[in-house]
Amino acid sequence: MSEYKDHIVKSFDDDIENIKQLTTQMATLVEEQFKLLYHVIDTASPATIEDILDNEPRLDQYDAEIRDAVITIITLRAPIAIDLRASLTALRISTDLERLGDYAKSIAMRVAALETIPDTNIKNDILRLLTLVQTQMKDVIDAYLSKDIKKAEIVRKNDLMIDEKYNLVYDVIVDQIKDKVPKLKLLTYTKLLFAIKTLERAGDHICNIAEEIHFIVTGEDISTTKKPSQSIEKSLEGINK
Amino acid sequence: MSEKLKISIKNLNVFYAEKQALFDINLNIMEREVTSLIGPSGCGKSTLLKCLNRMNDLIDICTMDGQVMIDGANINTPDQDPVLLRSKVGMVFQKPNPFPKSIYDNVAYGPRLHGMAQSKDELDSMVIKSLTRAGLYDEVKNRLFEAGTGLSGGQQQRLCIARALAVNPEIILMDEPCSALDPIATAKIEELIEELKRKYTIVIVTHSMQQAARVSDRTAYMHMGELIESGFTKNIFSNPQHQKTQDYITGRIG
Repeated sequence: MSEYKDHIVKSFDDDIENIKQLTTQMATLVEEQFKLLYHVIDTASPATIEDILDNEPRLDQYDAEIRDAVITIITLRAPIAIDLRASLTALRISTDLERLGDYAKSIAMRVAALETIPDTNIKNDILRLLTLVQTQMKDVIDAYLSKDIKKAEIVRKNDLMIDEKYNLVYDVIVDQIKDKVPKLKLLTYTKLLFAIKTLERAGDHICNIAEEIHFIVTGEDISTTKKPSQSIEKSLEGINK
Repeated sequence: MSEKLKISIKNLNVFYAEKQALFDINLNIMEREVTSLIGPSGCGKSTLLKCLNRMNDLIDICTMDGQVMIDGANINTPDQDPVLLRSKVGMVFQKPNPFPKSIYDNVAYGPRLHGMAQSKDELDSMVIKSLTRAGLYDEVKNRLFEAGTGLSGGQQQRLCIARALAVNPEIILMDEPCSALDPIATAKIEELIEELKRKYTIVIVTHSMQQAARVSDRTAYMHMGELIESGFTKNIFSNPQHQKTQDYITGRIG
C-alpha cells in the first residue's frame, strides 16, 4: 500500500505530521553534528567542538519532545495500523538518533584530545569513512521523508561499505601500531581505533532507522530476519575488531 | 479457537428490488469464535447478518442467490423452517427490545413457543440458567416478575441476550449491540461476549473499530456491498492488506 490519504479528522494529520517533523529536525541536527565532526577531524578546530557540545542539549530536547508527542497521540487518538507503526517507530528512531548524536560528540572529544592526527593517510581514511556515514545519514533521512522502502533497502545494503572501510582502516592503524609507532604514541592510535569503531557503530544505527522505515511502510519486522548473510569467519573477524 | 467451520457463505448476492445490496460474498465463519463485520454505513454488513437467520425473508422486495450453509446445510432450501432456524441462530439488536412483559416472561417466551419445557420447574431453571449466562441473574433475581422494560439500557440488552440464549441457540448474531449503551454497560456486554464464545459462535456488526478489535477473533471489512478483506483481527488492525480497509480503520478519507 503506497497511498497515504488524509485523515477525516484533520488535527490527527497535524499530530502525525508533528511527529514526522520533529524526527526529521532531529535527524537533520545529527547530520549537522557529523558535518561539524568532519571539520574537527580535518582541522582540529576547538571552536567547532564547542558547536558540537552546544547542539547536544537540543538533541536531548528533540528526544523528549518526540516521546511526549507519541504518548499524546497514543493516548488521545488510539492510532492503529500504519498510524500506530509511524508513532511507535518514531520512539525507536529518536533513540537511534540520540545515540548517533552521542557518537559524533564522543569522536570529536577523542580526536580533540589528540590535537593532531599524526598520519595524513590515516586521517584521510577516517574522513572517507566518516563521509560514508554522512552519505548514509542523508539517504536514510530521504527514505524516511518519502517513506521509500527501496531507498531504505539501499541504505541497509550500503552499510557493508562502512564495514569494509572500517576493516581496512583498522588494519592500517594496527599495522602502524605493530611496526612503526613509538610507545609514546600508542595511546593516540588506540583513540583512533575507538573513533573508527564508533563510526562503524554509527552505520549500524543508521541501518536500524532504515529497518524502521521498512516496518512503518510494510508492517514487516526485518530487524531479525534479513541481515545481509555473513560467514562465521567474517562475523568472528568483526568481533575481534 | 476450534478452527471448525460453522457458517459458510458462498457467492452470495442480495437485492432489494432492483438495487443490489451484496455482491458475491464469500466468507467462512468459525465455530466458537467471534467474527466482526465492519464497514461504513450502507456497506451491507447488517444485510449480511440478516442472511444468516433469514431475517430478510420478512422483506418482500428482498431476493438473493448464492448459498449460506450452517454446519454444511443450506439454510435457504424450502424444507428449512425459518422459525426453527432462528432458534438455532439467535439475534440481538442495536436497541434493546424487551417485550412489554415481565423479566421472567421475556426469557420464558422462546421455550414456551417451542414447547421446550415439560414443567414449571424446568421452565424456571431454563430462565435462571439463561439469565445467569447473560450475566444478569444476580441483578434481577429479586424482581423477576417486574417489567423488563423497567431495567436500565445495559440490563435490557443483557435481558435480550438471555432471551436469545433461552432457546439453546448455536449462533448469536449481534447488530451493534452496544451502540445505545454507556461505557460500563458496553464493557459488561463485551465481557459477556468473551464468556459466550466458549459455547456459541458469535457474529457481531459494530461501528466501533475498538470494539471489533477488543472482542473479535476475526474481522471482515465490507465496502459498498462487497467483502473487501477478512482475516484474524490482529492482522486486519495491525497490517491490513487492502487500501480501502486501511483507509477505513485508520479514519482516512476513502
